[in-house]
Amino acid sequence: MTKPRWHYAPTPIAVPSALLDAFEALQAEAVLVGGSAVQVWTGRSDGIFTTGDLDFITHLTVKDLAKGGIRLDAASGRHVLVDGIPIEFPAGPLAVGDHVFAKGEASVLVPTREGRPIVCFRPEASVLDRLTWVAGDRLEVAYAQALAVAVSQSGQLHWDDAWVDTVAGQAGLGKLWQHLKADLASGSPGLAGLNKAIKIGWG
Amino acid sequence: MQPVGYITDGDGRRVFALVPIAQVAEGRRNKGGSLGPLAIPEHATLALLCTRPLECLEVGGPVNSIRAAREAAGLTQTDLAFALRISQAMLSRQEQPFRRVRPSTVQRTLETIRRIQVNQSRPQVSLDATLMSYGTRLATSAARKPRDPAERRLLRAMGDPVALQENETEIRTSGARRRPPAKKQK
Repeated sequence: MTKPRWHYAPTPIAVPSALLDAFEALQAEAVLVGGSAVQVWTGRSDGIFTTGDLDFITHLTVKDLAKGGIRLDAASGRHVLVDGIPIEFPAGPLAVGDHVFAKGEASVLVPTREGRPIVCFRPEASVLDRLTWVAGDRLEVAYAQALAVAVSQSGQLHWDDAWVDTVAGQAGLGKLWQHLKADLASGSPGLAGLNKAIKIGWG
Repeated sequence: MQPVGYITDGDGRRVFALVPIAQVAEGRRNKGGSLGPLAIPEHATLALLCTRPLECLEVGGPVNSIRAAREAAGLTQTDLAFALRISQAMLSRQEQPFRRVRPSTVQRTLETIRRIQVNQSRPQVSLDATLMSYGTRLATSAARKPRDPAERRLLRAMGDPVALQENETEIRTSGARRRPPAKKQK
């Protein structure tokens, strides 16, 4: 049997099967975003890539999960524990900065460790998502994560610089993305590039 | 005259030379004159050209720009079809020498090939060396990550090492996404 071929080069991520069952039962197309999406695209979960929760953008609320068979003992606001793993439903819609994505524009299927696929931010969107933290909160760690996703995925068949150029401009991240692109093209990103990135902000 | 291709008899023997009409003197082009009779091998070769053109056409330039560009980029049909999100059979049909393909399809395919070439020619970056060069900046900035207090409590209860190091005063109460500040109205 031939292995399924995934777009880009994702690393399978652990998602509680009870949550996958609930998404299926509720017919929810939940999109994995945030630090867990970074793990999918970098294949790393150490150091700055450590994240304790799974973030999903979906039309569901935590309360809806009860209808999909999830016990809500440890639920609080947008957060819930499923099989011991914290799950967050950040406020939608699926967007970065000022750019709201059309359905299917920014997501792809990725494998989970248990075999069933889930929908995840495509790596270019994951880069821009991290850059919003750089622009908004001046977090160096977010720039390093954005760079890591780009290093890991920008050589793949599906990576699309032109798409990122367009979306970054509309999201208010044009300058930061152009800076990251140049940093990557230099072949040796370093502290000077990080320092400059932190000063750029929105625009 | 400089031939740009040949029509062969199927066994590789050249029977006709293809010459661009621009190379033929204008007088002969317009007046032409009567066509001479074909010899038997020539007749058979023209018949072969009509029935199985791939077997007897030999040209210097690309017959199909999609196939030529793909091969020049060193891409397999499988990879390009996957990148285009079409079946390999469909790409194979588009690559047939005399296939009429929409200009928009050709353009989209050539753009995809160019994009892949750009992606494959990027310089190699050592992620670990880059992260090392950032020194302690990453750890200190991770502690500055603003978070919803409820989420932080939940993550800390689960032993999340990042949340455990975060500064309590860095708070983000709503789950709203980060957006550029609204432009002031003049």
